[in-house]
Amino acid sequence: MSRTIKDRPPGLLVALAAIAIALFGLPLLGLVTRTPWTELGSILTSDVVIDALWLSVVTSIAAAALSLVFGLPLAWLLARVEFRGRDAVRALVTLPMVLPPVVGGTALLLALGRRGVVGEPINDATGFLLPFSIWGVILANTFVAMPFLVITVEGALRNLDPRFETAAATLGAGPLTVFNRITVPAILPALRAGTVIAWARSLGEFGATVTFAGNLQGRTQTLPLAVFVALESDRDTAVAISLLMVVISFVVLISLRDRWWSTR
Amino acid sequence: MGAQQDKLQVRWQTEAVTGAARTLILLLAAALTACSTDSGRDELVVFGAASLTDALMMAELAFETANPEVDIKLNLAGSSSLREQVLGGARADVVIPANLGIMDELVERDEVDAGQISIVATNGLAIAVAPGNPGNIDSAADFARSEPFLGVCHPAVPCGSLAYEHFSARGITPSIDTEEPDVRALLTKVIEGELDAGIVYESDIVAADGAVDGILMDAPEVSYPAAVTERSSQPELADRFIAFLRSPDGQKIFTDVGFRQR
Repeated sequence: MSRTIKDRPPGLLVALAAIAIALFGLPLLGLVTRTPWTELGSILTSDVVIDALWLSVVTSIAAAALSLVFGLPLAWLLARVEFRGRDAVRALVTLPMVLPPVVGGTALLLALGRRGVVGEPINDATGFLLPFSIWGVILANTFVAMPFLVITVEGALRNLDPRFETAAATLGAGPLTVFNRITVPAILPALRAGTVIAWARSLGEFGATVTFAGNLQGRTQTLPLAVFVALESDRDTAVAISLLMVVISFVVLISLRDRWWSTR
Repeated sequence: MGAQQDKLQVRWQTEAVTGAARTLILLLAAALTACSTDSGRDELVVFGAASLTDALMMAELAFETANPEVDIKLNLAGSSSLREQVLGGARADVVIPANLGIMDELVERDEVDAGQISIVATNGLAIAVAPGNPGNIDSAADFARSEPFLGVCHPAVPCGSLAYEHFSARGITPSIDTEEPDVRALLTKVIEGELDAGIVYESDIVAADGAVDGILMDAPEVSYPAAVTERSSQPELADRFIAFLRSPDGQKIFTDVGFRQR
């Protein structure tokens, strides 16, 4: 017996934790009990679901990748570089976490839409348009997902002892080499965790996507949007797609957890 | 050692369960106390379709002004959500969905007596055109063109299914860029100029207050049926409210916000 029990855990803590678990577990139970098991196969192989699944996979991975590419430098800037207005920038970055996603989507539309402050000149010059396209979905997803990566990674950078980086620099390594060879390997677990959280947030994204990119099967309709419209008309399909999303998230999060997060 | 640990484990579990139950009871008691502070007026719960928002809020004000002892509580949502809520046991005295089909389902489930149903307003479809008509939209036939940005409601909601029915009746194969989950979201995108046109209700054109141009469509009318529920604890009051909606004063409210008379 490697485990020893010194004290009984406080009953109050366990009780509150149990309520918390019930809060997350009961909806899942509700979903499972209402699942149309016999028709599950035919629902999940229908055109609507296959199209939405494909779009969700592509856009959520793209959004996670963009969050990593732009979010890591941003987190580094916030953690390592002193500049005026840093707190304001940090608040700006966390804005999508506080804003209702629908509001975020509206703001994106007003900025980058066809008649948006920035979107209109771009459209006039190049004919390129974000709304009602897969690019719009990816942008909306990145908008809501990237803050999760930035916050996770910035926290890790702050906890990282800067003397390692200083030591490497004194040994003659250039700033970019220090970043690539010292900083990134040291915060790798946080980087992985941040990317996975950004991906998960992106997979479930609804409000900003439907507001900014619209809803059309095969073009912009991701799984959450398909669930939402199915709720209006076809409860079985809505429940089946929800279950599919739960399974995808569970499989990915659990398998990554074993590989990435357990030992650290 | 193992047995002792098991016993300990069991004790944790029971402690945890009774603790949890105790906390839950406390929470429930607190919630119930919070709910019991009512106004002392007669409460009438009205479930109405989201498209009736403006009309029902004005009707509430007018009815409460004339009957100060009555407190109307509005629950405004998409018609299918209203149906789910009523079937799920929510307390409603009056239901007013945006289509007859939903009301029929409530009749089938004995929530509403078929003889109680009366129409309080009607509405029609209209094309909302973005300011300046950048897409050169003149009629529903223009929805077959691929270059303008065009939207409809999703066919799962009434405004969407009606739009698609109209397209197929006219032999139009529409080129659609988005199927919005509700009519107000669609209207907003037209107002902002993100879409060149969208198919909405006539009342939405009026609600947009000049922000979009409307083109009337020769499509079938939509009816808004109202009924007292079978489980209502205030059937007489509920009847009076529906009678008010159907009276000249009530009908004026509906026409003011863009509905047609019943």
